[in-house]
Amino acid sequence: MMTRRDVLKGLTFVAAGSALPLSLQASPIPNSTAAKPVVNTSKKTRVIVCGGGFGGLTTARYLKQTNPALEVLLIEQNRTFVSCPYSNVWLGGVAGVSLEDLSFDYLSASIKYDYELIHEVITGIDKERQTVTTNNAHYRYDYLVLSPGIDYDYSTLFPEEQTAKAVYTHYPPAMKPGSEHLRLKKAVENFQGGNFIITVPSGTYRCPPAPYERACMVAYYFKTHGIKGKVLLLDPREKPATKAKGFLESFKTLYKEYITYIPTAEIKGIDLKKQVLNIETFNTKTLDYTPRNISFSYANIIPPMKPARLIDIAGLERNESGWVKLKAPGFQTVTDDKIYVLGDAGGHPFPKSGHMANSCAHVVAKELGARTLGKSFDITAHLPGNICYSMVNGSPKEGIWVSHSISYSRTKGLKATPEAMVQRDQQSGNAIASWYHGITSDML
Amino acid sequence: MVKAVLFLMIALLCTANEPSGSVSKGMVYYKYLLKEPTGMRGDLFAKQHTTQEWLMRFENNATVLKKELLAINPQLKAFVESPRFLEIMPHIKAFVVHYAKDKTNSAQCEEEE
Repeated sequence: MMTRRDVLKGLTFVAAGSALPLSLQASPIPNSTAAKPVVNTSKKTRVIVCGGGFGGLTTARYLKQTNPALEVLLIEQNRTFVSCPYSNVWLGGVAGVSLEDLSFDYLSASIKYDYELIHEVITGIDKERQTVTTNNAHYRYDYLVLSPGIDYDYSTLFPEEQTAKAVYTHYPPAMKPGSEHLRLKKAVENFQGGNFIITVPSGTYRCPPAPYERACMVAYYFKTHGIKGKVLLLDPREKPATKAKGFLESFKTLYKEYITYIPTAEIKGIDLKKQVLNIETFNTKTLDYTPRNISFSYANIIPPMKPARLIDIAGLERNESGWVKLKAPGFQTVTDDKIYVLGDAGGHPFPKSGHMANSCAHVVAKELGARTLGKSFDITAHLPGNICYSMVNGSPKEGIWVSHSISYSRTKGLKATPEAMVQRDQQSGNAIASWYHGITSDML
Repeated sequence: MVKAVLFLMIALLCTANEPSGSVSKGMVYYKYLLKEPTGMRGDLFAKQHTTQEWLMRFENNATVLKKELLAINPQLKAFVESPRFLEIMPHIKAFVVHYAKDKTNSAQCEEEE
């Protein structure tokens, strides 16, 4: 339930206007907390897409393609799209990759693909009245697609709120694009030496290979800039969550002097003043966890993750791990048939990647497009897929990748199975840029 | 008052269903302490039961689980009756509950090595 404080908090991020033509806008909310009538003169079926990431942008584009008669409105609070995928390559200072490669404007996409766009902050979703409320207005919907991404969950790492806030401020995870990435980039560029800690989150998290790829790219930067720094990669698992062979081989072969991989590492606390991280690691001789303190010059602490706050605002049921419960094999929520969730917030057992969100969005656009046209659609014949590239070396460019196929059966449900896994080679390194430019031009 | 009691009951129920241990620690403990004696991979072990079935097995200091482990391998007797077993139990519980039969959780990007 939204409180006045939540609304006020939202207002601090208010964008100063809207790109939506006035004829399509709903009624503005004056300085009153009273509910306002929803103004909507359009008789068209309206789909509101919330969240302009890989999932939301792809859905908006392809919904209009599937059913051009639809009125599609994309609500995104940020005015610039900054990509998370490919950002580690930029972070590592790989030649030919700039911040401009990661940044796009939203307006061009909305013009090109003929959907409406507003930059506002969503403060409420009324499932009964089928309205989305922003800091500016109420918007009626017939169908709602939520692709809000993730939020960080520091509660298990640092239960004390003050510590969690301080850790976020000084050592942001950089798993949400924009400002956090800029801070991390500066930290890498200004690094004077010592330990550079990167932590891998426990549980299911956005972009499984990201911390491992990041370790490679930070080490690549140190190596090519003569920085006497060491990347300590702390993982609660026994081996990398994905592409384990490829990453471990890269650490050993390319960055022997620069990366130390520390498995079974559980974070127990942090001393921000002394810059010391308290951890426990498993000792295979005593068969128990033993405490260790590690000092650091900089730390990229990536905490566990949960669905973005918009899922709470919508009041959607979650599965046991906290992700949104969906009607397999599709993307309708179990809470409401008219609400779809895709991307990282969804509860399907898919890797949480940009490619997966894009692929799922294609399915949602087809399914919802058909639904609004009164046509039937067999999702099992259009299951999504995933491909996941990681750059491990900047010169020559070398990458590793894995692909997944998704299967569904009534008894076993959905399953993501790895189909191919390629160890480090230059062909994959060069393919990463092509993949990235391909997927961004599919949605922007 | 009624609301407060209801809230407390819900809170207690939620707590009862969320083991306080660490899933990743449970996975490591299982691998090093139980995988060989049970002859079963951790993911397959966890998928034997639903969440509720696992929670029941961990009641009263894991009485039912201990019996089942001993049925699989009687040589585990000294271990399951040791204080060490009680120490690691919350983590094993967190692990098997996380990957229980009725959960959609699976190791992300599972790969054949």
